[in-house]
Amino acid sequence: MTPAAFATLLWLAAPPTGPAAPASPSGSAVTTFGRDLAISSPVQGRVLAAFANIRIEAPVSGDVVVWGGDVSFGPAGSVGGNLSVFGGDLRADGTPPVQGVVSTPGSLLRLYLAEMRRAPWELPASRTVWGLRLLSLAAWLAVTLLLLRLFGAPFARAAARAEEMFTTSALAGVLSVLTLFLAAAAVLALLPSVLSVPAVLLVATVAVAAKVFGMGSLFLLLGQKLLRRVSARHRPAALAAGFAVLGGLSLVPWLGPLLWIAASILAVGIAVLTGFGAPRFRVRLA
Amino acid sequence: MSTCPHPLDPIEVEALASGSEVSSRPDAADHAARCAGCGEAVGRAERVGGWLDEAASAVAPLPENFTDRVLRIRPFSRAERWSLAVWRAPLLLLAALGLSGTGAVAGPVGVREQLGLAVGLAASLGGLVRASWRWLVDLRATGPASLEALSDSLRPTSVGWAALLLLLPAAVALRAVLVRAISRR
Repeated sequence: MTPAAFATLLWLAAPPTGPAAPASPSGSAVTTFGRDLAISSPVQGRVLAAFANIRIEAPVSGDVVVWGGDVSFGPAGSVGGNLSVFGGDLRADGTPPVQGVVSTPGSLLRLYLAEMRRAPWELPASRTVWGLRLLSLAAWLAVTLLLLRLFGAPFARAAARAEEMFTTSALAGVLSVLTLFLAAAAVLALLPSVLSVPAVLLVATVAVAAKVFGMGSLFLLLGQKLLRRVSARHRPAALAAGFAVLGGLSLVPWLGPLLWIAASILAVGIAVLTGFGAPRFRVRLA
Repeated sequence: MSTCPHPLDPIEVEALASGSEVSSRPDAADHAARCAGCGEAVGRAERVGGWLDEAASAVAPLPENFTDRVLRIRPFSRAERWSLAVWRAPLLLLAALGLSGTGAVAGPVGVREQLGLAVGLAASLGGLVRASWRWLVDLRATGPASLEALSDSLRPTSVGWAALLLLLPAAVALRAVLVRAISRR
């Protein structure tokens, strides 16, 4: 689920959204949730923002960390520490006035452009974007093929069971994603950081594992339907066929990302419902 | 332990024991007749098959499509796991995707025209590998601190309690769906 969707889920609990508010002047730290912020006077500490855009028009001595929002700079704005932007854009006319490290870990594209000596905040050529999308799909195919080779039977079991209980898998997917995000939000907001950060990293690991396994099973199921072959010998070809259809659709503008999100939710449901393709019965031979 | 240098894999043994043709290894029957270890394995499988037939006759008839389902979910045989013919289509698709993606991102680098296509592709791939490495390093370095920052920004709000209130019905509904699905198996 995207940060925007996460924000929507929790929006009811957030303070009312309004136009950009000026930051508290010369404070030790500035925190905002769901409300855009314009820093117009110096801040002697860090700036934390979740689901809000930040306009930096005065010096900030500490770090600036933004989740699900954009960061832009005014003529007098600067950051003395590090600048981290997750799930948002960094807008600057030239080199951003940041003394520390500028990191946008949510976007491989930006890092790639920086590696290729193009400023990461400059608009890339669409050819590069398409190339990275194709490489990203190649990575998906490589990972799912490797997993299929290592865990052929669990994938086949999950695909077979998802075919029998398709609607239930979709429902389980919606409820699983919702439960994981609510659990992460509750843990982050209510527990101390020393407990909440490892717990959320654990939740994220489970979610990623479920998505990867479920997507592999979904590719396999779709391919088996297309090829009308379900034998073990035809499993790799079926996975490739299903992947080609779903991966190809994901490249369609606007509709593609929505389809991929829906497939991801269904994938999590398949993984959870089938217990990662665990057998229904285990027989112990004496 | 078998000393046979080319032992039959379990699926080939089962196929021979049930009288089926072994498509992955045409000489399987001849091999089992010559090799004591593999012949013994086939004999054991025939005995197990006999016991299973006896046991099956004493219980309710097997569900429809039982055999098809078992064949559908069986693991890969060793031959299938290593057969290029079985894995050729996905590997070709993987190569096509990798090459077309690399070719597309190599364009803006600007070195292709000067140093040739191979160097351009290598520069592009090198950039991708370095970017992926930086992505992982950045995530490791900034992830925990940023999560801590997100936690700090959420704490003064009522988001945590709202999430906790919504979590209960979501978890109960998920459990109900899973229990119903397990009972239908």
